Amino acid sequence: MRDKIKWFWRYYKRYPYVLAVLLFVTPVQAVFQVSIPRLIEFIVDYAKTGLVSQNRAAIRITEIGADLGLSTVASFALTLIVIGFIAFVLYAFVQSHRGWMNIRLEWLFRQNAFNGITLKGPNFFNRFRTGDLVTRMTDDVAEKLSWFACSGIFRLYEALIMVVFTVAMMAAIDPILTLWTAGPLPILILIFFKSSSALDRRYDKLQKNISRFNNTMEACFSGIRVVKAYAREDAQRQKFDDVACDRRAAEISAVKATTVVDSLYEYIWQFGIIIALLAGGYMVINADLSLGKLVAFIYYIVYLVFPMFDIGQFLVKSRQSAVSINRLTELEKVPPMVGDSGGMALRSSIEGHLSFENVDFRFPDSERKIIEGITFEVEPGQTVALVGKIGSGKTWLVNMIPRLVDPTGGIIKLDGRDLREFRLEDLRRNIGYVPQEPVLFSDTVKNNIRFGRDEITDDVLQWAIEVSQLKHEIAGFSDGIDTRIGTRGMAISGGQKQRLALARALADKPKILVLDDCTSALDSRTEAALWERLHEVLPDMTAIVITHRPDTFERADRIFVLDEGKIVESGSHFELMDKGGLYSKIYRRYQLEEQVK
Amino acid sequence: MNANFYEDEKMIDQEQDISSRKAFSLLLPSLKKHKMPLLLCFGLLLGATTLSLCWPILLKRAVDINMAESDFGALVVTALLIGLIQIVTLILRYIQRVRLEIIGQDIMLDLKTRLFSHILSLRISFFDRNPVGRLLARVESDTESLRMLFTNTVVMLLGDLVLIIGIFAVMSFYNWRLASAFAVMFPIIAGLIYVFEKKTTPRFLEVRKKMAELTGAITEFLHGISIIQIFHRGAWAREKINQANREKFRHDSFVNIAVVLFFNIVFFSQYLIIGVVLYLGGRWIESGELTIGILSMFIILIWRSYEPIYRSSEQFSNVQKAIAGAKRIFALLSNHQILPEPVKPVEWRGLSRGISFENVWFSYDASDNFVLKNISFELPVGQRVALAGVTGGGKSTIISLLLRFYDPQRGRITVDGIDIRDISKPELRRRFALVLQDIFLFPGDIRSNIALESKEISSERIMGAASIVDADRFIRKLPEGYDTEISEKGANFSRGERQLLSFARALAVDPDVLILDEATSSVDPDTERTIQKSLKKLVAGRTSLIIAHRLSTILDVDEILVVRRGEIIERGNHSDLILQNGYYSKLFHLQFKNKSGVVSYAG
Repeated sequence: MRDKIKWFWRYYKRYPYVLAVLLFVTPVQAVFQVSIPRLIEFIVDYAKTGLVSQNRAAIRITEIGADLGLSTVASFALTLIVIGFIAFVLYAFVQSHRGWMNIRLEWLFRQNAFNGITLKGPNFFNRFRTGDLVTRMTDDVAEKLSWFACSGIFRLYEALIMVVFTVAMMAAIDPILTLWTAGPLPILILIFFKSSSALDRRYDKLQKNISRFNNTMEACFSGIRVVKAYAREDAQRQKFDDVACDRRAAEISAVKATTVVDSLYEYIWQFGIIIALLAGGYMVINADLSLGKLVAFIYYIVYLVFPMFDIGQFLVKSRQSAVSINRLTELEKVPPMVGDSGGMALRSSIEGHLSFENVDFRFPDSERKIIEGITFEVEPGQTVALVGKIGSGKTWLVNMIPRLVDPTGGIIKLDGRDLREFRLEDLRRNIGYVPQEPVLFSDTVKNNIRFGRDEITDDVLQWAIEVSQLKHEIAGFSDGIDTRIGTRGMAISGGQKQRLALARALADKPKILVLDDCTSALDSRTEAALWERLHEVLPDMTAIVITHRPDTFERADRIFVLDEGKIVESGSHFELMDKGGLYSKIYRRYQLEEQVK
Repeated sequence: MNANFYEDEKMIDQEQDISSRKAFSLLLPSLKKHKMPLLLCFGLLLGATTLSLCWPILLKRAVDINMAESDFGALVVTALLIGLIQIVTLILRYIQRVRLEIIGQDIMLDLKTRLFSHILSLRISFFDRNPVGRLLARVESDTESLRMLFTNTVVMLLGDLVLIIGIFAVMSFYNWRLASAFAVMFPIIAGLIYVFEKKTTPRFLEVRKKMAELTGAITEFLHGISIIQIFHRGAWAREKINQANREKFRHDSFVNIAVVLFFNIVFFSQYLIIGVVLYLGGRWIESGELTIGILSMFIILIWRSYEPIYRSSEQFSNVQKAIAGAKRIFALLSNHQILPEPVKPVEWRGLSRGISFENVWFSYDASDNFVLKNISFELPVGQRVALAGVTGGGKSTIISLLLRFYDPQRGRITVDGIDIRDISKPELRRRFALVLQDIFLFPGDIRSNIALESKEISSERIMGAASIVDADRFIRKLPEGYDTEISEKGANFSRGERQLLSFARALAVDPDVLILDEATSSVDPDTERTIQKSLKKLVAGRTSLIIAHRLSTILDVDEILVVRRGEIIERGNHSDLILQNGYYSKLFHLQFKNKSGVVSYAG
């Protein structure tokens, strides 16, 4: 519990003003609120008896009213309206601050979670799926946590204040009657707590039924070819009917429970009035209580009922939100794999001399080395090609250059300096990277290439587009370079996506270019043209290329053949072909692939 | 569920505008079916509301008569009466709500079944264009919003109308002047509600939209997180999310203020009315025109008259959502993209001679962009034909056409000389069994996945089929045997086991023709051997059309058709084609050598 409060405090302390409003205005508002029933009492008693109650406030109000030329009833009614007005202005003030804080906290919680996540390494994303993370940042944060973080807690505060003040007012009228009428009210907390637990269970069951219903539907639509090929439409209809009927039953059972709980919520206070009527009525008959006081009492009972629900609700929601807090802090527990040491700002530009010295890599929670004892050097302007089977470690090797992950052994140096000594920004700005799967965002072509790097000039942008062989296609788009490409680039073809990802990498004129098998979706003519143009610009950059293209191997300065994380062969294309080892076999295979395309 | 993403989306095919009235006509037949229970519900609602108006009257009796006469016994009777009325009201209301929910559920069950059934009958190209999430949203979210409208909004409004009229009637009966003081205030409040709803409903929807955008942005950035890190765009991404967050916050805080203001104004107006009524009442009691009991009753009734206001929030957006949902449902139901069934289907009693493709041309979008060009071949009964070629060449399309997922633009496909368009689709497809690259497993147990929910396939046949293809052995080892539940996407089975299950599924229907899309991915040698053995048993003596990736299949078949870019470029048996030393021989070397260049499996 204490760590939860600490967790909230981290956020609360940033808003001392709102906290002050919530803490101090609430009791003030409550004072106004609880005085309203007394005024009703004064009016009723005056109407009944024609005498002003023997109460200092009542007498004072009539005196002031008389000074203003108002009748007794009018001065009470006017005071009631004025106090009511103040009470609701104050309440609106408190409530809007509370609401504001809820959504402000929602924003903060979500932003903080997201900020943390953007720094995590691949091990984190292997453990938490995207859908799960999104749920934690939306559903947990918005539905469960943020309301509780402010409204949940401060409504409890308000409820407690209201209970104390109301009971005090009631006791001032008649302590015995207070005991009679307010005594049973805490039972409401229990009723609320128990009934919402029962409700939760039914809704859990309903949720399972809905999932089953949706899964059945989803499976049927996803597997539509199987369903149609086997002519099983009717069997699917039957199955759908079954799950839909189960769901209907679960829905009805949940509604039954909800109706009971709702009815409690809506009507139970009326039973409190019956008690007040009986006990109070008895006293009125015996002249121990005025009728006005009885009416005021009835009001106070209503005032007490709703705080009871708030307290019950707090108990229920605090359980849920504790789970949500855990789900968020769980994310914080995985440390990032790469840290930004800060380092010194880059003074001169990077040459592009890259060296790997006995580099190892494995994941923190695994024994298996993905990369083992890799040593090689690349001179500025050279092009090296990496070859190897799927799972030989090529991608992880190139991932270490922009420090997506750091080596767990050995050192990678750029221009003779350990990569970790660079500021991450300086390092990464000098690396252009094209991944195997082109990752694009639902934005325009231009913004995808620019990728938030505002310093990229339009000229360089055009150059990158031209090198990537996109110029003509973009010209054919409806809005040219400002065409939106849809969620994850859905609106453009696979080949266009790959070239867009290439243009993005080139647009910052990087000193080091990493190409991870990024031309697979291109037709052979476009691919050839692309490489032709690319080979012209490559001499300006140090390039590390993973590819299937025989041509590229022939042009590479050096080729490294990887197998199970180790370099097994290296040399130029012709040297390796003469050797007749693994490379020559792979090369022939790629050649064949090229021919049957 | 990702259904939410598609909630506000239109179907690609029908953007046509449909009037609300037309959309709601959809519900009429179902409503008519439940006329009597609906009337009963309305009666119950009427009864409960009327009854609930009685207790303020009893309160008046308690104050004016029982207390005035100092008759405690009578007061107890009155209080008990109030309690009794409350309990009866609660019971009536409970029955009414549950009954209504049942009717609502029945109507929606009806509608959902209709929708599901309709979607299921649409042609495959419809499914190509509409992601599953969108279809789910139609059947799920849209019908749910309709149900909400029906069971909550409409009934609530009706009930509230009765309540308000009732309250006013009771008030007028006891003191019409005081009642009119109350009545003057009410239209003002009603106007306020109207303005509030009108102003805030679009903002509410805007908040939802902003939230959807935010969720979309977060999802997208998380998908691309490695690229964001590699390009060092973390700060940029965080700022983008912060902006989206701020946008949502901005709209949300407007709604927050609006809601707080509205409810507090309403709260205050309640006290204002009570103040006015107390003032007038106080004066009229002095003049003897009014009793104190009537005044108390008025106060209670004023309280009650506010109930509908607190309930009214969100009703507007419920109505809007329901209208939008009804329109989309209607649009979907009026979509009739069904491959035409023959008017007079030719009876086909199973394959006796063979299948033939005659100059078949096909393009997915009915344009000149043909994926299949002039495809002709024969598959005589009892023979095996394999399709070979690289991915994207058109092999799978040939299979889709044979199963009549699509109709060719030119040429025809015949079975025993009958055009397949003249045979009813279920009749046609019944004779085929499709074995896909990777089996598609449905939620349920192994038994239902082999039989594909068919009641006609007996348990013996399921087990028989499974044992022929050797699936029986691993199934029996499972703790629950054939009743083992399939976990999501069949993750609890190995690739080899899934392949055997798909063989069993095909064999269970005892097809005339087997259509096989072999798996390309490699499995360990043991599994490979098991699969090969089972595959041999499966195809034994059966007419088969195979997309071949396995050596043994290729060597055995009667004819290989080499498909490239939608055309058959070579044909013949394996040894002929190898001797030709053309495209096929290259493909063969590529496909049947593993990465170290050694032939992986030699029969």
